[in-house]
Amino acid sequence: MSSSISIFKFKRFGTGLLWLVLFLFLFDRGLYYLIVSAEGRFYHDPGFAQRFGEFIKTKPFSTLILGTSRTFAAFQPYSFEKILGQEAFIEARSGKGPKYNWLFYEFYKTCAKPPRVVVYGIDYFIFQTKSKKRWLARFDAIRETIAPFSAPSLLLKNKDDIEDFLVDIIARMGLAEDKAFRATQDFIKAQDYVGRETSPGKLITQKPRNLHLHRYWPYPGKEGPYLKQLLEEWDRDGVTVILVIIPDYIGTYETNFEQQKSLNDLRRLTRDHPNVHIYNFNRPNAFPLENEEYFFNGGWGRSNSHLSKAGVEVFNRLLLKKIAVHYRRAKLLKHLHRRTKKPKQPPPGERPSSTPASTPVSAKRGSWSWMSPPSAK
Amino acid sequence: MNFISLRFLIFAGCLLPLFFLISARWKWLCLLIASYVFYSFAGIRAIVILAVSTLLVYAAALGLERAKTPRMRRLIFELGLVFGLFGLLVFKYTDFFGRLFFSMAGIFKAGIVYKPLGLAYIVGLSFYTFKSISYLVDVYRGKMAAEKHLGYFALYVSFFPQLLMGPIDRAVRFIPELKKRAVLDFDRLASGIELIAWGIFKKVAVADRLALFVNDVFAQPDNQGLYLLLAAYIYAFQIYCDFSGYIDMAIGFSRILGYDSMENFRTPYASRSLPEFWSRWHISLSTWLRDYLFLPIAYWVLRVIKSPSLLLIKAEAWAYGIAIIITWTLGGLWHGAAWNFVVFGVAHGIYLLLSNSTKKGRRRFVRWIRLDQLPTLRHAIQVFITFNLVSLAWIFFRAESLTAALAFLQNISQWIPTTRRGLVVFDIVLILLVIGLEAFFKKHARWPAWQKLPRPLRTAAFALFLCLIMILAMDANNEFIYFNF
Repeated sequence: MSSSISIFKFKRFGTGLLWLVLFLFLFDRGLYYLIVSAEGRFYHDPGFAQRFGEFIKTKPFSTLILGTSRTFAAFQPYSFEKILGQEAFIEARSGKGPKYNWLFYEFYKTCAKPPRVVVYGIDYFIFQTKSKKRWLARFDAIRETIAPFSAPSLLLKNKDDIEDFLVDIIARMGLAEDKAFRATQDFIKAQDYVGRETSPGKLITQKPRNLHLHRYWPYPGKEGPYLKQLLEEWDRDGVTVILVIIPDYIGTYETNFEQQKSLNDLRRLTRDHPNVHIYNFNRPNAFPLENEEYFFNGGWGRSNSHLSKAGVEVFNRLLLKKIAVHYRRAKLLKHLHRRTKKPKQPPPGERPSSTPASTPVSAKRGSWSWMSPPSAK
Repeated sequence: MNFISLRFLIFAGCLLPLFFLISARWKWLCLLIASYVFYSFAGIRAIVILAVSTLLVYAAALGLERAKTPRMRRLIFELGLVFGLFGLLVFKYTDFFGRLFFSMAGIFKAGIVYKPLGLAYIVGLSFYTFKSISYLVDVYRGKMAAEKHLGYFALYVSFFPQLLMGPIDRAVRFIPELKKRAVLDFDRLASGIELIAWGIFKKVAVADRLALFVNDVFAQPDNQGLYLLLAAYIYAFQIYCDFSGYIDMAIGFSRILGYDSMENFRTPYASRSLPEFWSRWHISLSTWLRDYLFLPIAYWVLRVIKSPSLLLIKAEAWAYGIAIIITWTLGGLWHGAAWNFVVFGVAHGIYLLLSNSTKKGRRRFVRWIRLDQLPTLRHAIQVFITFNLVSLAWIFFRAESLTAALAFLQNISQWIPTTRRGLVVFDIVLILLVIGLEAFFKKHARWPAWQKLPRPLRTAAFALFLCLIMILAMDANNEFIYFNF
């Protein structure tokens, strides 16, 4: 090193650097604690337990649908009722990972009997997903133990959570946005969702020259053990579990190139649970993945896409056709033959208030003849 | 290579110890290799063009000194200009002028269609081309001697902190700077790191966040009402934080290495007139345009007109008007080969022309309405008008095309949408934060208020600022806007 650097200056710089590291450490921890406590207060939802407890008693829900936003976009309780005559409760949104689902299921059992069937929407990124604090706050699960030495910077380690928090603060600053956000949080309204006609984003239908591939994040990932716990609990509770790999647009399908690995992980996890059945709709021969009208956003180079309203209709028909067998085995389909009238189509975005619970779709469509209940054979 | 990336962190981590450990005699080589490694991430083609252009301009400058006749000098100079500009013309303007030429030819003969070559633009090309050209012109004008040492000249052209987005430093100032003995100075190191942190804050915590609202509004200008106007204002700050953030980082890195880069921004939105704005915004480009385009054109017009006036207008006024419009049209084109950039440039040309020609009238008007007795109010009005004019021009700069810019302007209305209000409020808070911090630091030249703080307090404040960056930074991976130019 140059001789012009005096020892005195070097020492001074070294001391300064030590001070900086010390202050960084203190501020990083201090600010992170402040943010976490602010999050607790910000997201606190004291009325949730009561509202949920009241709602869940209004119908005999036989099916519980769990997953992320892709599940929310893909599954319709309305179709379960229309086609299978089953009341399904959907609890799926962006940021609802296995941890949230486990907490939710525990809570669910305190309010109602365990469901007979659980339909779980599986994403390629399921083990990469971390449950968002806005949802975990429902069960006071935000204040996890903070290990001050677990990372050089807690702010950087938890950057995604902080970003979510910031976004939600911004949403609350604009009251209209907060209202819209509250609406998405409303689990009762979520039951009426029948698919979205306008795209929330652009679907990339052209393959780029340099295709960005997304590696699969293997088990256990961020919250994998919670899924394992759920599977074990469902087994104990005698719940039939249907794991559905939701279709992705062909571009996304090819971008997520390690799908076999994800399927292998899933098979390993469910090996000891005979009550679990896996349905993979993310295959070109299982669902028309190349039809761009069936998808929103995502596409070539993106990691996931959501089904459009048209896609949801096709997907629900195909899915329910396949999984009806489990309902039959669980003796949940015996009243299907009593259906006589076709339900009135609801206006877009709305669910009919008085849908006849037993309309035989099989009577209207030839392709649905397999749906005939055992007594009709 | 982006300054805000893990790759660059590794690059800087390897370079700095090596640079300060190596003998002073070979520091230039160390930096030159580092600069080429830095630029190699733009691709082999970029490296080859940079190297060839450097060699040709270097040879042309040496040739200028050895030329025996003025005619020969002129020929070498013109050849040197062609060599220097070749890459820029081919990779940036082929398709633009190809389309223009073919559409004009289409007037005479139908069915002629231009097939775009689709040559990908090379990042940094515009910036180092301007550096090379300024060097060549300065040697031709006799302002400086041609640099004999190829290494130093190549380092001047490719100096990595300035390579991608400037500042467009002049050879006459920067080559001697590169030759001076660079030593590790801890005060410079500390102030360099502070400047880099400030640049990172402006880019990732402010510019990238402002981009959320701006991109959204510019992508769908229908039914946005007053948000369009807000988006134009917010974009003005987005581009400032984006560009000046990069420049702060570039100056910071240069400072750490022991070199002083030229200043490129001086709180430009505090300008009271358009000429003042261009003396505070992208200073290295505006002075380049002034010295190498505006003045030569203006003198040429004066030589052509010869008489003191033409059509009752003074020859000086003709020279100013013609030179300013040509300069800013080319200035607009420098930013991008599209008509919206041409309009952006022409708009600034017209602003400057009007500003110059109405100076006396405006002064008289101010006296007549007695605004001169309220200097603070007058100042505020001037800043407000200047900012609005600049923001109007930014619309053409930001829009995808000229048609999109016009549609954007047509859609502005008084209606205020109910969505994204929180985002707007947050953006305003961020802008005020930047204005406040810049006003605090830049009010005192060279930041003495900051420097005078006790060391532990200053270190604590800096650590807190770094934590603020960690909280507010967006993982958007957005490129710097000026990478495209």
